[in-house]
Amino acid sequence: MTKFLILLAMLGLIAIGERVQAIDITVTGSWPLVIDASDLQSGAGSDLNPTYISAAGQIRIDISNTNTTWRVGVRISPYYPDYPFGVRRTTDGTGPGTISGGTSWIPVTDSWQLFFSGSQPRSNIRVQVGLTGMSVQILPGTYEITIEYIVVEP
Amino acid sequence: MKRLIAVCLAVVLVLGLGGVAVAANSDSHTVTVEVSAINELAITGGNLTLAINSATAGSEPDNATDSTTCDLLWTTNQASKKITVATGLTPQNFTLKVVAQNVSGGGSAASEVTLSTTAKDLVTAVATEIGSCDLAYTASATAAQGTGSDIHTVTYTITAA
Repeated sequence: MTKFLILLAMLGLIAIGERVQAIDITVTGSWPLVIDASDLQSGAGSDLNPTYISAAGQIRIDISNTNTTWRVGVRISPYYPDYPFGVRRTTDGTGPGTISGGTSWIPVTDSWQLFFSGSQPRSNIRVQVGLTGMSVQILPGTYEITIEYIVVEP
Repeated sequence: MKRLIAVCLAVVLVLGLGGVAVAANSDSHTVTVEVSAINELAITGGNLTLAINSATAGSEPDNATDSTTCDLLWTTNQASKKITVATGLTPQNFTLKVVAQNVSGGGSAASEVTLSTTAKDLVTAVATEIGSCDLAYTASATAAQGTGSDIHTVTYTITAA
C-alpha cells in the first residue's frame, strides 16, 4: 500500500510538472494592405484586382514549451464572406521535431480549422496571408481583421 | 490516515493530468485592409472633329453628329456620385451638345446637355460600379453665325451627387 501511494504521488507530480510547462504559440507580424486606384485591372472602366497576397514570410509563428505533438488551428474575426481570407505555411521553420500540413491555401472562417501540425518546439514558421473577392462593391474604409492561431496538444 | 492521503494524491493526479489534456494557447495578428476612395474616369476615342458643311436650301445648316468615336468609362467604389461635363471654350461661335447613350453599370443618362463653362449633369445615380457610355455629340450653327471653328476642351468629372 505504501509503494502504491508513492507511485501515485510521483505520477501526480509528473502530471503537475507537465501542466506547468504549458505549450505556447507566439505570432509576430501584421499585414497592412492598401487598395486604391492603382489596383484597378485596367484603369477606369475596370474592376479592382480580386486577389491580394502578402509576402511569403509576412507572419512568423513560434511554438515553444512542448515536448509532444501539437496542432495549430486558425480562425478570423470578423469574417467577411464577400472577401474571404486564406493562409498557408510557406516554411517549415526549425526545431527538433516534425511539421506537416498547411502548405496549400486554407480558407479562414470564423470557426477554428486545422492549419498544420507537428511535434516538439519549432520556431520561425512562416505564413502567408491572402484575400480574394475584392471589388468596387466594397465601400472605401479601413477594415481591421484579426487572424487568431491556437496551438493544442497532444 | 492512509485513505486520506490516497484521496489527496488521487486528486493531485487527476488535476495534473487534466491540465495536460487541455494544454492550449493562442495568439493573433491583424490584417488592416484600407480601401481608398476610387473615382476614375477615362475617355476613349481621342479627339473628334464635327464639320457643319451642308444644308438644304431654305433651311439652316445641317447638324453634325457623332456618337461612335468617343466613349466614357468610369469606376467608382463610392455611393452617390454623378458625372458632369463642361467645356473650357468661351465665348462660343456655335452650339455643341452632348448626351450619354447606352449607359451601362447602373447610372442614368441626363437630358442632352448644351456645353458651357458651367458643369452640367451627364450621368446621374452613379454608385459603386463600373460603367460606360457612348458620347453622342451634336454641333449646330445658324446661317447667321457665319463660318469659323470652335475648339473645345471638354472635361468630364465624376463628383458627389
